[in-house]
Amino acid sequence: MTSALEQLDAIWRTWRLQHDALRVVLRTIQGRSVTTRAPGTLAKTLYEEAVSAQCERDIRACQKTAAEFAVLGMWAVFERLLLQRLGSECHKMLEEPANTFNAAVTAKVAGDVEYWKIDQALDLIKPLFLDARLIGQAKQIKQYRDWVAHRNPRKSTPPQTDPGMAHVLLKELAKALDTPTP
Amino acid sequence: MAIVATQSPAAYLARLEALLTDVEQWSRAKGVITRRYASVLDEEAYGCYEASGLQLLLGDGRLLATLVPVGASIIAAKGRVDLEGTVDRAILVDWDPGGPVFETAIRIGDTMQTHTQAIYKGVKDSGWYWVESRELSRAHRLNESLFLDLLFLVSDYDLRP
Repeated sequence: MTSALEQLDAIWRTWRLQHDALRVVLRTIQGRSVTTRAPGTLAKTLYEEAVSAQCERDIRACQKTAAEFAVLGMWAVFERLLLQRLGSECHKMLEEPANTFNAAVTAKVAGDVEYWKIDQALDLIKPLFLDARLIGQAKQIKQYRDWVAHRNPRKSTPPQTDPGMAHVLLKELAKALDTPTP
Repeated sequence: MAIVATQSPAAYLARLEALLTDVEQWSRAKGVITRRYASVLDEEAYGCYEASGLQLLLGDGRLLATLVPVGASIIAAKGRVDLEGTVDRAILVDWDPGGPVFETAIRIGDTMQTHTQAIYKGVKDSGWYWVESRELSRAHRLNESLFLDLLFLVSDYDLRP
């Protein structure tokens, strides 16, 4: 199974490729392609009969959307890892329960992990990190993720980020979550 | 839209002003026309406030790029401005000396030793930075030479000597 760290890297690489691919399209439309615009380059694509200026605006908007969705994807991978790690901590406790009552309570907690608020789940991993800023930054990326997913033009913008910084921060958190505690 | 700031992001606006002044000077030296414009930012942390942006134009009126103020509320930075050109965008972030860091702790016997690791190399002074490579963790402080490199990167228009 692909690890969360590998998935974060894959999203990062995919975004980079998307970004550069859109850059090539922009250059082609503007007639500045390195290889010049060969006949048929844009055939059977959305760009074939598009008005150049409008098409350029659409692609630039698409570049921004691709960056936002990359952060959204990275967050989804991180959130899954976080909940899986909290769930596995509960299952460790279930291996040696103090008594049947304790086992029942722990099993209930393990089952409910999926429904915990993410801010509360992030607070629980504080002992794994000395740097409380990193937990705070993860909460900010979650705010950004919510803003992208449920964009409401009447709401103010939360702290902003980009795929590069989100990748660096979430990967650092994922590394710690991936490391077993003694 | 009513502009009501809950708290003035004065420090960001001051650094933005310094950046725009530098870019105006570097652009004029290359014959690029600059035109300021007003934009309204609306951030949860600061409310609504006005911030200036800067358009960079060729003599024939063609738009080369725009410096777009993004805001003072930025994850792991004190502010951000994007240089948006005809084919790409370069992100400029405002960092203190050292830039963003990770702190880790190692237990040696009964004592905890903390270790601070800079996320990016090359962040010696405070200022506007551009990250050249995430893979190599390398960032550069904006100066005239880097500005001309970035203008080429985002617009394919080469004004470098």
